Amino acid sequence: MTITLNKLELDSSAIIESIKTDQPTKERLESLGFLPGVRIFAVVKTPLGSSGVYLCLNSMIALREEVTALIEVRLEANNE
Amino acid sequence: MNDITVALIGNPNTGKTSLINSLTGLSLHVGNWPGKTVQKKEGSFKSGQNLIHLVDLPGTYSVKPYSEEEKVTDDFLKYGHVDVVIQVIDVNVLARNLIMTHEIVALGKKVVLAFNFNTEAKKRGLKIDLQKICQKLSLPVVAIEANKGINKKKLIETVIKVSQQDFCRPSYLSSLLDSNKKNVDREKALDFFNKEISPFYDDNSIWQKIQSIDRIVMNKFTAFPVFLLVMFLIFKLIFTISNPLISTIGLFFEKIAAVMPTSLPPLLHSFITGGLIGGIGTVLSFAPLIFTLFIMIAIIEDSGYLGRTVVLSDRFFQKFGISGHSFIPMILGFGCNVPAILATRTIKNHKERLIAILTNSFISCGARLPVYALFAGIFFPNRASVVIFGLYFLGILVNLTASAILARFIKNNESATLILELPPYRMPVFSNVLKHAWYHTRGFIQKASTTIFFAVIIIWFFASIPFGVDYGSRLSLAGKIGEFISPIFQPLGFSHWTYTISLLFGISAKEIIIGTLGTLHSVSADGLIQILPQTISKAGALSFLVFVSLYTPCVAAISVMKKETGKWKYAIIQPLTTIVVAWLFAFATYRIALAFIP
Repeated sequence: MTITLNKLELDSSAIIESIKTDQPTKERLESLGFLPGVRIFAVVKTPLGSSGVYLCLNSMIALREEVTALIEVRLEANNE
Repeated sequence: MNDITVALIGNPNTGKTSLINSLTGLSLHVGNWPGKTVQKKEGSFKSGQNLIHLVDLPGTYSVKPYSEEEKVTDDFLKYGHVDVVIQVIDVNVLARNLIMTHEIVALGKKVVLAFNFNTEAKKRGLKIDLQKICQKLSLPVVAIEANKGINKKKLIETVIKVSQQDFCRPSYLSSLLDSNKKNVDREKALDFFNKEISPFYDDNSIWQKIQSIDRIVMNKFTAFPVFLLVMFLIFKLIFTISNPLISTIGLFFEKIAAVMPTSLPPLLHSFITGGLIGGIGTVLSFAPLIFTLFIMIAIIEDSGYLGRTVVLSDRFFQKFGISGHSFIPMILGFGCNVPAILATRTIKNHKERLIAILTNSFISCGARLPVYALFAGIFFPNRASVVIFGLYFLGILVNLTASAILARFIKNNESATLILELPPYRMPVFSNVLKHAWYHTRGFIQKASTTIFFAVIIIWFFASIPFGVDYGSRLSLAGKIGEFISPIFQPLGFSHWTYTISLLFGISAKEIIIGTLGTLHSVSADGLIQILPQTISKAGALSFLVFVSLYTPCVAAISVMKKETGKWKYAIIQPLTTIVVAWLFAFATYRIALAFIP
């Protein structure tokens, strides 16, 4: 099942499918390892709920919901 | 002698600054937050017949720049002269780091890879076959521990060897390029890692180890209580540790003043007791405060907590038209506004960066803290920490309000979002923290012997002429200047000329405010305890503190503001505006305070 990253529940993982942000943001995300096929893990949702922290290629990346809503991920079998 | 220029490149927080310190013996401050190095820094050393110039470049995730400080790295790689690039790699995040390696090699640069944090990675369960990875990449790899200097000799030997060889393009590289055959295709680079490198890099156990501290520090229920607790503890510790030391040094200067023989010529006597002991002694006695302040700032930086505060503050700051990116310059501003203004380079959005530069001086810097400590200690001995905390809080409030106002007026269509890598939590290295604190305290002491020394001589001279008048009286030149401007401050409750002239001299450096008062009254901090209450009321003292906390940044901060914005208009309008803002707030404070305290 494909969802957007902001919908990924805490403590679950998914595989990145596509990034639909503007080009500079996409470039930045790619350089941080947000590439199709990479497994991503939702670690923390911040207070006030606007951002999330994700584990991606062994590093923790904080992103706002406006960005995670544009990242499509495929849920892994064990999460579905 | 063979000159070799070596550029240190890598993602933020990979240990580049630690490595340059260990190789060159420099003491550049090492931080643990993205964007710590915003300027390129250089150092040289000899190795055999070679003179090696090392250039530490700001951390970057790609050779294509995203923010202002990353452009420094990009420009240097493209237009600077580089013989060899050392890419410092956090071995925990190898897959991502190697994508940038391919980008650097594709630019035709000779690269040596320095794998850092091996001990930490092994502890977390990483298994890595270095030799095999070296073969697969066709690039030299050296495993180092940058903060302990492990394998630095081997690294330099490898760099020298590589500098003597011709550039050799690895055969696999062309298969990693995009359709234009120019840039590295990151997906292909990651595939290359998965197929060729990952059989020799077993990180399964690392994947499982998600940092549990963040579940408390960034949890929606505990994050803010933890943040407030951290801030309160820092504040409490700074004063608990430094207060006894400040008193001791103050008493020491008092004793020296007391044993000064009265048989000395009056002019010399007044210079020693007024200028040297009163002026410089008063400022110097606050050195312990500066030392503990910077110890606390270094701990926050090095532990990795600073990066978290950016994310935590983001949503709240958005209400003021800025983002969490502005939080780091704010925190650094508590130390000194100059590095804080430089740190705004990590803010990608130009409008937000300009706002952060123009509002930073409202954050109370370390140099203003001695003024607060002195006045709050004299006038509000039982509530000193409440008063000082209130001044800090006021600074933040005015900063955010000014940001919100500027955000409405400065037009800009750039999109801005928050994308931030959170560094791993690391135990601050004690020697590193001490070095950082000492670096700033030494600067504070040096300033006392240069800028403040000259200012004190001028103040002493102004307080002594025309010759024949009583030293430090209102008939002296200092008194006349002070009285000339004092009507402006009459409504604020501190019109005595000694305060107004201290504010005037304080523009050059805020420590000079207490230095001036000490010089004019020929006493050090302890002596001022008796004297100041004779010339100012409690309400006036509070209003004076509010004025000091908000009025014009010092000359150094103004000049860096001009440099970073590139425009004189900001360096002129900003200080003038802050004076008006300070006046209004001090006026309101005085009026309100009069209703409650005498």
